[in-house]
Amino acid sequence: MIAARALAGGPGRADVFAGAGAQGRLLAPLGWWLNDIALAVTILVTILIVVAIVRRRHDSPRLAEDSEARGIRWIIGAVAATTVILFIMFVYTARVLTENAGALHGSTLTVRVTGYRYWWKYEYLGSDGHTDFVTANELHIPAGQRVQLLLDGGDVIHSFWVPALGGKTDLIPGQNNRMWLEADSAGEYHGSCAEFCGAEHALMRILVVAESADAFARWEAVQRQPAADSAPEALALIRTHGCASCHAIAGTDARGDAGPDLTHVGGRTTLAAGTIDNNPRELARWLATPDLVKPGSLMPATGLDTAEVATLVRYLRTLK
Amino acid sequence: MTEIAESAVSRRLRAIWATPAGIAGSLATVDHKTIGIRYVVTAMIFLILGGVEALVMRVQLARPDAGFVSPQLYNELFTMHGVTMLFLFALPVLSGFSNYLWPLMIGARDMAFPRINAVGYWLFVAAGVFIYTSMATGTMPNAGWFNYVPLSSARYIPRSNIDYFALGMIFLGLSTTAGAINFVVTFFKMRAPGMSIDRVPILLWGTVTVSVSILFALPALTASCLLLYLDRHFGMHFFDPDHGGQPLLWQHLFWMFGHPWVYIVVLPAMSMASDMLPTTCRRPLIGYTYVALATVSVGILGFGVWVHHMFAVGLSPISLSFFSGASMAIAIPSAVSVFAWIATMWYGRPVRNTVLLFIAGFIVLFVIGGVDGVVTASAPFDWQVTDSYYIVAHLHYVLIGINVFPVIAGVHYWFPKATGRLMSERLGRLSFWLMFLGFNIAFFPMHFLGLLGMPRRIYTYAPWQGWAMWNLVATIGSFTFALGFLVFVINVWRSYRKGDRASANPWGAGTLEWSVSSPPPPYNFVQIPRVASRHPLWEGEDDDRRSVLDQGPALDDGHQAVSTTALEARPTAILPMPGDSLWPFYLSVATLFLFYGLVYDSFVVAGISAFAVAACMVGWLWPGASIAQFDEPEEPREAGDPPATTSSMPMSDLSLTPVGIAVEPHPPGQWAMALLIVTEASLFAYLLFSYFYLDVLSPTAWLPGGAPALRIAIPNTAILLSSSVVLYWAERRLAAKDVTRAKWGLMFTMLLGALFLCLQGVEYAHEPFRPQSNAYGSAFFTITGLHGAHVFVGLLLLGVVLTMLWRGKLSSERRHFLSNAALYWHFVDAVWIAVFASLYLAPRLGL
Repeated sequence: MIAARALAGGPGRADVFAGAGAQGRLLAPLGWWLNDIALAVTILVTILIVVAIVRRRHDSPRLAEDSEARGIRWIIGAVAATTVILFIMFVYTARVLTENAGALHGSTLTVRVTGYRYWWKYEYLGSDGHTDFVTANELHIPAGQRVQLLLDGGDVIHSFWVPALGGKTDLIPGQNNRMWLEADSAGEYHGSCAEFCGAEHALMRILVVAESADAFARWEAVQRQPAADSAPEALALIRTHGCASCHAIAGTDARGDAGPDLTHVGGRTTLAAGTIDNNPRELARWLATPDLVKPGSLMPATGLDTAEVATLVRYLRTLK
Repeated sequence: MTEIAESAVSRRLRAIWATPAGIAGSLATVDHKTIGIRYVVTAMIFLILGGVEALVMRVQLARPDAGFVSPQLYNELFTMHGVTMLFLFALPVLSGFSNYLWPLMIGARDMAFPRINAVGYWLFVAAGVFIYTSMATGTMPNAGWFNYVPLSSARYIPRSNIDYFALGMIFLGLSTTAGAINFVVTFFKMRAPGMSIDRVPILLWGTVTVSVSILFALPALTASCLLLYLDRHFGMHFFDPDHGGQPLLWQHLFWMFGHPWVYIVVLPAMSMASDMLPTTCRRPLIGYTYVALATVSVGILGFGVWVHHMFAVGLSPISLSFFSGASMAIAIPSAVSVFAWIATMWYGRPVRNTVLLFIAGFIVLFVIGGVDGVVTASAPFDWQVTDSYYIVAHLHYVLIGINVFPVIAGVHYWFPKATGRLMSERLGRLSFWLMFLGFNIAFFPMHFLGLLGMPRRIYTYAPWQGWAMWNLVATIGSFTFALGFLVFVINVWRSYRKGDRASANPWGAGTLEWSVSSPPPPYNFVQIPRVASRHPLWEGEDDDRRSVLDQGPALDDGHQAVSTTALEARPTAILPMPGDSLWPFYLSVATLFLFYGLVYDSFVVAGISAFAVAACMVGWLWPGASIAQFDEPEEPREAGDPPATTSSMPMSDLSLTPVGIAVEPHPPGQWAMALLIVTEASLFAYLLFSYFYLDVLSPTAWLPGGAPALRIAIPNTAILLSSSVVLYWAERRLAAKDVTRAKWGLMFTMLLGALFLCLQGVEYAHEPFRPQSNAYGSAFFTITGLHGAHVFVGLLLLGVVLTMLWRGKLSSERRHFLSNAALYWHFVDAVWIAVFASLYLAPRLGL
């Protein structure tokens, strides 16, 4: 809308008119155009209603028959105009659908996205279709390249939505959906789960980090590295407090897969699917009292004391 | 002289129709006016409950990172808000208006089925109590009003939250279905003589359209909730992808119901506006025929667009295009209504009162909700806005704009009729401006929030997301809106206590409800009117054909009403009508406990309650109790007071109309049975759709061990079909006055039916799979089991008929009960043919 266009200026915008990627660019003009017509029709009809009520009238009551016929002509004309406008809207819609279906094929990278209550698992697939490495909540993609996302609901239905880059697609258990994602330039793009999925649906955020090809290649190389198995004290805590039954840290014997992979958790900017910043203080708070930070989260109370939390924080910070 | 004579008639009518005072009287009443007002008041109470839930949410969202409510409570609140507004307010309030107004508008004494009307209301209250019990138990539904699986399955929400939803929807559906059947039959059978269907107020068109829609759409919700209940309580797998179920099956069923439902809760409200506008603009509605046709076509088109709620589930571009186009096309008939209203205002002389303000406001909001609806109908852009706050804005423009605003206009307009007092204009205007501005301040910015990326159903957001300002604005707007509503409530209360007295026709309106006193007497009309135009009270002296309002027959020797032909409203019979009864109330209470038993798997409570339900039904139908159809006057006679002369009165056909149900070729009961069959057939159609949907999408072999065996099924099919032949023969025997053979035929029919059920049980025992094995087993047992349950109900029905036959209550002239039961029985057999073809034959044909 005209007003919304004014609203949503500035860099790093997350709105649907940002058009920062291939599909976003396709949908933004359609959206403006549809909303502008909507606004114009609203204004026009409102004016008509107001005029119909307040206009001056000749005091002699019109012949009912006469005005009935004129009114009918009026209705037919207005409905015909409506139909024409709707038809144009439909043609534009169908064209965008066709363009979208034709344009968004082929990709340089495939990522399997699985939605869980309340976080995202990303499995980067190698060219042979096998999992190359696994990460969570922050999706790194090379800017200017098309990425195919294979979407799966790990428990309930979720929906992957990054407004600046394009529309949303649902992740449905037992159904193989896919979507394409392409960011025109490097930057951070925010989004969220868009299908209600339970208590912490609100805190199931998405961060897409688009990087130059070089930076992305460096990031990929880091992600493939296992963690150094060099912190026996922390790893003992991870074993004894049950962390390892849900979380995996490649290179150690923590191999759980019910929660986010932590192999490179230190390299992420946020924790708990965008709930808090990833810094030592917030990480400590999250480990000590997950139910306060994200009340409906499935992360159980850990029962760690302050010293143990500090040990774990130190270790997890090293997992870059 | 006439004065005295009339009052004697009025006294007699009052003695016949008035409900006795006292608690028993008020629980037993079947007066459509009392029931209508109760519907409206009860719905308004639910509106206030849902509104408070909304305000709590707006407080939580007014600022980022707020902790006013917990996430769990927030999720319960938005679910209950949606359930309350859509199911416990939006339709019931309209049913209330239609219940109150229909008989008055069409010149009838009451609805076609006064007791079914009463049971509709009591079941609605009971279902509302049931759903809100979840608040007391701390387990409110919490998966959103469309309650998607798998989130709502027992694995993710094991407590009874969702059971209150699923069973509550089935429960409320009983009330809604009863009401819908009653409206359809009343529409086609009970209009005053001369009120052909092109002379009825538009509200009749609106409500009859949605009533027919309900009969086809509601079974989809009943089916989906039944399947969910079976999944949750009996370990079945309809929606469980690990065992061949499909989560999307829920979405298809739910929206096949849900989208028609959106039109169901707005069309009657739009129609009310169409009926109020002529009065406030002092001229007839322009384009009556177009508006009536537009209303009906929106109802029909509403069935073809459910997929636009599912644009993001991963569909092919072809189906996206189709459903985009179909959804946009609905704007065309909607535009017809909008421009008809504007033309009526333009060429009329509008009286600028509160009623007109609310109607004008409604049209503006309707247009906004309509055009942003067209935006969301565009599938590619809908990928952006669906499940965002843009949709929250859109749906509130539609539902508050097109339901609440006309309803409030309607309260102001018909309040004087119902209470005999006028509402305050000053408070009325104040409430309008607070509500109209508050509404737009609250909901227009939600479009922006959606475009800024805010998903719906989130209990909190962070400051950096940039949504704080518009959320604060929305909260301020919502409280302004609530304040406006409070002013309205105060206005209602004050006006009810000490408003100015209203005459019979304070607005100078043209339709029949304004021809009787305010408030109307219990019998509505002293004389049955004869209608000659759309606006009987606006006819001029020089019109050639004039309605006759005060010289018709009074029908003052019993509970009687005139039934007329479906299209032209020519009188066909004078029907005896049932009087007050406590059975509808008892039946609803028993049903409430039945559903409590089901929530908590307490099959003792459920069993006892089911028995009580059956007992109430038997009590209701008990021969010799005062069921109207049996209270026939000893001697059929020529009915009605002899016409009081004057040559201008074409009453001759009514005065010659015979009395009694026996002479009516298509009595209301037969209509009702046919409509019940329509809605039941839809239920089976949705279940068979589910069967084939799961079959087609099954990732593994659908039939675990080949098609089910025919060894028992084929003879069993023959048994069931032959029972229909026998029953037909029994019917013919009764028609030929051969009561003895009719009894034997009936008993043999029942024997065959019972044999069918036994053999079905034997077959069940031999099937190699169980309902819990996989989705196929669940579907097989559910569909055949539900059919078996219908056979069982048919047996009970035939048992009642047999008892009547035995007690001499049926004869060759009075065999409607047998005909209706037989109709049901034949229908159940026809369903079996469909079930047999789908479950037994289709797999063998490779389908």
